[in-house]
Amino acid sequence: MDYSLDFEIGIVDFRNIIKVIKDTYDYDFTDYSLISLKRRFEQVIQLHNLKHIDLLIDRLREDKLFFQTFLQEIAVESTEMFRDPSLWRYMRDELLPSMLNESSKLKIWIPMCVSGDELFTLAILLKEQGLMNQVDIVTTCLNELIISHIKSGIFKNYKIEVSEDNFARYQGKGKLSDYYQRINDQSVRDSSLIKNVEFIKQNINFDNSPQDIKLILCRNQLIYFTQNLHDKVLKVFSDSLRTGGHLILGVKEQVGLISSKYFRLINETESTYKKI
Amino acid sequence: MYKAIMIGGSAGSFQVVANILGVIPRDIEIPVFLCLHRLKHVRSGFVEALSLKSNIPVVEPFDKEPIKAGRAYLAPANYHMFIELGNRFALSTEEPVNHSRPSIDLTFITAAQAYRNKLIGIILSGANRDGSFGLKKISEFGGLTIVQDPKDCEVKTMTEAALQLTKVDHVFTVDKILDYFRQFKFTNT
Repeated sequence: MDYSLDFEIGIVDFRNIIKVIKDTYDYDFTDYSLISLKRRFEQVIQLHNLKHIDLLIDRLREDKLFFQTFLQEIAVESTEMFRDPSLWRYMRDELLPSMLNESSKLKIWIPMCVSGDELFTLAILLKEQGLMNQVDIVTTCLNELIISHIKSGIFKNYKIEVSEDNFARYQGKGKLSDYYQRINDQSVRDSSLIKNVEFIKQNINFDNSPQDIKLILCRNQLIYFTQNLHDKVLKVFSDSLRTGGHLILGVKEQVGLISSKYFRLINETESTYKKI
Repeated sequence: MYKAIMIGGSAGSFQVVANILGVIPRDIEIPVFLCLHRLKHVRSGFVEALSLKSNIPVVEPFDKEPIKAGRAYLAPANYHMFIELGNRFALSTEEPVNHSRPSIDLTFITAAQAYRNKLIGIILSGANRDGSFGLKKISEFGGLTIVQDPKDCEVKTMTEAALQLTKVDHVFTVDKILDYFRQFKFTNT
């Protein structure tokens, strides 16, 4: 749907929504970037026609299922498949081959997965390279709704054209359309691509993060956090990664001053870091 | 008196922006934000092209980067660019607005909220309606609004949409815009 830019909530209402979520569900959005989160709230309010903030607050407090839907709707998903084709070429041609020389399996973590675009992109890359059996992928998501959405393979139609363009620039072996089908109004990705992926539900505090990871792919999610939370999460990533493991952020993200003690930049163009 | 300049444009705006950056005072004491529609898959080249004649450094900000005076900041490809609290940028990959990412409306709205009546907003040549709502917001907060004269635009859709929605302070040809930038005292005091 198209959201009106004219509908805005005030800062007091914004704080009240955060408070009721914290009090009821112990989810703390205090350290999320203000503008983005406020815009997400405004969009969900319009979607559910809850323009009286009291209605939204009551609904959040009383309706646990609604809260799960709400969590899914305020999460910002990645924009397309094979976003930044040069990053995927770099992974295919340089980074993964250099990491696969080791004896044990390559364990990759995709945190805060929302649409599955990056997950399916990675899976297609691995399949084309015949590397599926040498890699374990673990994906963490905020709730079961998001997990089942990703597993369904459903892919928004407006992303197809740009994803096809990206795939051509990635110079894949086959065609992207080999990996999805158009069914009525929807496009559905081949879920066999992710049949061995481990899905874990993880709250926003990053409790019980996976360990012994060699590569974390977390592009354009930390941009929704303040510097404070960004640094906390990078500490979690550092603890999860083996020494010498890699972290890939979005092309316009940096680990920043405080977290630079854990990571060394190895590819500036593709925002790729090595754990020190 | 003004604390920031916000420029939005699309088709036909590149040369105008390059010319503005070529006349802008080297010692300008405020930041310049540029939100220009661009190809989403072309990450490099744009900053370099704008830098050629520019009197001030042109950069694409990283997420959370602090905003500094005397620089021109170009919204990066395939991201929205917000002016966040605490004088920093925040980037976003949320859905396109007006089929655009970066969306001029979103950057203008967040800049209007941050700088209120201390902001100059400028809409240049362009092929869709993006930016008109954002310019209205700048006007509502008491900022100064300038639109390139549609007759002077390579593509006039964007400027006409802006003029429809807002009673702007100035409708200027490119030459007038350049004169304005040459003569204006952009001091912070």
